[in-house]
Amino acid sequence: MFKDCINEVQRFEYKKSKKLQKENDDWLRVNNPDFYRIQRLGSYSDVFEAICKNIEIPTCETRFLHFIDHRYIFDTTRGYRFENITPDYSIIIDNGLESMKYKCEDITNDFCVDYNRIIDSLIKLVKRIAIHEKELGTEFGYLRQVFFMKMISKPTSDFAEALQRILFFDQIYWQMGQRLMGLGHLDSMLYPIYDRCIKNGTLTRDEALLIIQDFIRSLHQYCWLKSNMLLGDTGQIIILGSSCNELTYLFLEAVRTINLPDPKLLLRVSSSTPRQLLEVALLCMKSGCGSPILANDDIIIPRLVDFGVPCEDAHRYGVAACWEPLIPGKSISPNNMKSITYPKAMQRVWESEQLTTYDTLEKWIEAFYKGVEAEIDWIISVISEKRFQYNPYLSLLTHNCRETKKDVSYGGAAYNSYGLTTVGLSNTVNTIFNLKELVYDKKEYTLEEVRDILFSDFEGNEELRERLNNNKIHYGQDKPEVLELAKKILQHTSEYVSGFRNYMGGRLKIGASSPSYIDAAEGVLASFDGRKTGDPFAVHISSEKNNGYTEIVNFAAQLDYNDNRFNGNVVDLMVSPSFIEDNFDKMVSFLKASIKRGFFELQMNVVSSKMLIEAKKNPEKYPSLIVRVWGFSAYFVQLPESYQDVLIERTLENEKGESTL
Amino acid sequence: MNHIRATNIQRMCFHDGPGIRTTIFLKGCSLHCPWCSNPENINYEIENEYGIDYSTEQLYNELIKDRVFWEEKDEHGLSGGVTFSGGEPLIQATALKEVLMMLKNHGISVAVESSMHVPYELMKSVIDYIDYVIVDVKILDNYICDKILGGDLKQYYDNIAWLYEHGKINLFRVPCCLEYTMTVDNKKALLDFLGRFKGVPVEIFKIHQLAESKYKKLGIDMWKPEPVTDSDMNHFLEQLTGAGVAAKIVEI
Repeated sequence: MFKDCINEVQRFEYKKSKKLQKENDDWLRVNNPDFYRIQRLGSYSDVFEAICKNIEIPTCETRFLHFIDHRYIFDTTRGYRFENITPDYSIIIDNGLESMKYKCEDITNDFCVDYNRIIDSLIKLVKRIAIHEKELGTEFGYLRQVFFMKMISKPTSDFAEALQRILFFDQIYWQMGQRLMGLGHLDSMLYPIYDRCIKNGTLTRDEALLIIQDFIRSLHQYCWLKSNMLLGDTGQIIILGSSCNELTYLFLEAVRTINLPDPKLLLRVSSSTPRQLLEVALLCMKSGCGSPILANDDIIIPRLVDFGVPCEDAHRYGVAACWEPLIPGKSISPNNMKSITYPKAMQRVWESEQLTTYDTLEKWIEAFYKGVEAEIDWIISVISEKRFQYNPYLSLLTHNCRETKKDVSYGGAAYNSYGLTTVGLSNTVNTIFNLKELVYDKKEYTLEEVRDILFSDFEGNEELRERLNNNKIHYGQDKPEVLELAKKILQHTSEYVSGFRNYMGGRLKIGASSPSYIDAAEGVLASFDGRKTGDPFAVHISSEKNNGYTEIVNFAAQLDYNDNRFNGNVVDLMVSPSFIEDNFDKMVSFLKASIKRGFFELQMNVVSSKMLIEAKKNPEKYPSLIVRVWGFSAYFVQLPESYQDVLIERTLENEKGESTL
Repeated sequence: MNHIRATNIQRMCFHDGPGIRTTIFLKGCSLHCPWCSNPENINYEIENEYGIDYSTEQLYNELIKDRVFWEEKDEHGLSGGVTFSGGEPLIQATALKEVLMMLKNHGISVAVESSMHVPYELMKSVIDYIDYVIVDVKILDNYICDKILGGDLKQYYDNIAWLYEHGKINLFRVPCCLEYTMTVDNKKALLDFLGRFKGVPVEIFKIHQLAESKYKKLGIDMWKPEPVTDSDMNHFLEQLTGAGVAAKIVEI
């Protein structure tokens, strides 16, 4: 087991170091110069056709065929790639490929031509696969031959067939170099077929569970190749609970029982979610697989509607790779384009020549806002330049494109907004409370002294750093003054980006949780909350210093997610497995009440410090220990040390609190 | 005395009554148990960083922050709420009365964890506003109770008798240590005593040693008891169960 993990790490590292790309290039140049030429010179549909023609179909002994031929991955240097989105697979569940094509008389522009050519290429590939599967001569092979042949002209009629179809269309995305692709509302999408199969006796609940488990395993198969920044960060998210049915339970059960970090689940909940479903969800979380993250319909849907998303679509929301709401199959919103790093804005204040003139806290905060604006200006100047790749394949499974005969990259989708995340809000809020106390109220330090302390990275000021760290008032408390400050900062950011329009007419959204709490912190000056230069920022909406989990939920529920502030706002809790075990019913009550109280999203890291410390020391003993990193889960022993350390520190802080509950 | 003196308000407590609770630890105690795990709450006087005075309104607003979390009922159909612990919360009954009335008025469940070593009148003055009573059971020998804890068992028995008669005891709790509560004689007395209140559940728990830093800050030497083993606990549990007492072991 551990050996496999190491191989996966090595393969991922190899891919990340770009050696894989070079190896592939070299191989293609020698072995397939025709393809090599098309890849460089051909149009999108030329390359698509060539890829479909060339990829090698592996021999597959398991239930599902799902493969990526890494030698023939689409060259993604042709423009900014779409990623972090979810196509609508119900389109291909309900239609055969032929029926999706434009009729001759409807072909009025180049897009229609390319669109049809994509489908033709797919049909050729599908036929090739069917022949290959027939030659296998196995039971699964025979079944798949039928499934693939049907794909050409018929809707699906079998549960496993529908999942195979999703796996096939999903693999093409990865083959086309796209990243962080979500799967969508699989429980509601598949329920009609599931129900029909159960009723006509061709499927039992137990068989369905096995099929789903195999489906999950197939999705996980290429984790190393699909992973983005860290191993496990694939963005393969399955949305559950938009309408709760038997499959909602089955997916939770399948993920809990096979215990893989990827793919991951998001469960949509609301005040009317049955307690039983929350129990099953908590059982899944307790297993330590990191899933599901909970998203609160009562909070999210009204925000989407206010933003201009029609009610019907808002009720179909899913999320991007981590947690940023979008409408699957209708949004091409890249929701995680950049991160606004608040501590960088603070750094601008400390570096300012006018520092000494900020003789009131209000003036300091005003200067901080100027810093935030400068950060945003820079971000906007970068994202304004981006032009997306022409992408008829994505258009195929994106609503409106077919009707408008417009590619997604030309604004063919219904929703084209961009999303930003914010990071370091907690560090900023804590800094401001410390400044208020020590500089402006008690006048123990001048601003210049603070600046010098920060520039010297607290050298010789360890005691002060402790004191800053332990300020009685801090981010995450549901005190009016803390909430007011946090809300004001987010509101300022929200208003400042509200005038932005991208080239497709989309707006900008922001959110209060970001994956970049470690990466974005690199090289950023120490902050007056006691954080040293380069040290990680606080994680999402969290605080291990809190007085129980209710306080952070209360805090999160009172933040303002209106206007454009709904781009993912996750409460991140550290909980030890034994704590859930000992208090299972009360934890379910806590979840139920928290939904009512109104968190936006909530995820749990179910780990104990003891286990993590042990695993860091003896990784060979803990090959399958899973942790939640940001919007994804990963094997703890495979994480870089910096991430391991943040997790260990957070569990230790949390357990101090838990022991007194 | 019109303010309420407390050392800590702990939200999301799972072990101090039904549902999810906010527990407030009041300062001042009528006893001084050697094994005390909240030594900062023995003295009523403010010491070092320990002790905050709240007005009725202040305290009420602080206590109800988690209100929405209490609405979820537990398996017995009971809601969460506020638990008054300590110290001995009933010592401050007079100051507390208005807060208790406000909580009652808003339909919030109130629990009290008390040693019941308090004057009968004091207990009676607020008992109507309390929905769930947790009573500690400790040393049941007149002389030792007085000498070690500073408690008057007559007062205790009177309170218990009245409470039981009025169906007001929801839970007994026994802190277990070998030196005092688990001696042969005391165990016998406990079995006899608890056996008389059949139907009232009993929780027994090992005393813990987590208060060391608090003792240090207060400049008091911490008593070092002999460790209680799991088998000591299991044996005691068997004895209780054998006597028909609905007991279970909990960790606190």
